[in-house]
Amino acid sequence: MTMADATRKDALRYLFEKVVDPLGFKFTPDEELADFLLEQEVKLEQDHGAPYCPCQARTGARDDDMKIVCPCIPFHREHFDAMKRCWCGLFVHKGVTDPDSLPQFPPDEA
Amino acid sequence: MWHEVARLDDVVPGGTKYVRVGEEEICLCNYDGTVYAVSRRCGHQNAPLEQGALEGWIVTCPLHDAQFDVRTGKNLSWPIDHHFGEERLSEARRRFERLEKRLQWKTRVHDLTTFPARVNDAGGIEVEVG
Repeated sequence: MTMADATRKDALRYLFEKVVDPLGFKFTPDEELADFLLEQEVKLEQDHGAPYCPCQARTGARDDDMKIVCPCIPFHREHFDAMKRCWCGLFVHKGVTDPDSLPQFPPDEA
Repeated sequence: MWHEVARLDDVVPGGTKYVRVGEEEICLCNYDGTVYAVSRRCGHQNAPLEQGALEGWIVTCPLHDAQFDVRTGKNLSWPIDHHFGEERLSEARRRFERLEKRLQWKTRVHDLTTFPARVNDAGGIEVEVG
């Protein structure tokens, strides 16, 4: 990771925190995971123009793809609230202290 | 040489202001009470940054959303393409948009120039230029 990538990662962290905080979410306490996911998002932004979720597939249809630009919580609110985490686990509900204990299940099971 | 260019009251926290010292166009940015001074023109296509948005230490250009760190002047992200959604565009306009998109990705985004800035005892913002 270059210095520029690290700087961008810091910027994404700063900007995302302001978005997810009012939604009742925070960054996962698993710092290693958070760092890894943000690093992937920096690469996705460089390659594809936006910090897409590293764990969801882009379809090529812009309207759909915009719904997985991080932080994508507003587009999947019911699903993520049921899991108390976002799909990739970068964000968790504010009260969560043990992110590994949270289940991950598909939207139709929310 | 230090120049007094504005009053601290002129640039509220989270705010920006354009000032000029000789030929130098400068954008003042107030990040949580600390004033930073960077070159006014975006490192992508020269748009005036004081008309963009300042979020913390990150200023976003109003033209294509390129972002810069006002503390260091470093470019943080590439510009974002226009998107017209379902809007009906003429074929000529679509061709132009495709051309612009290709050129955007080949355009180099430069870092901003930073200038030392301070607030004097009388509440004046001073910038060192030249």
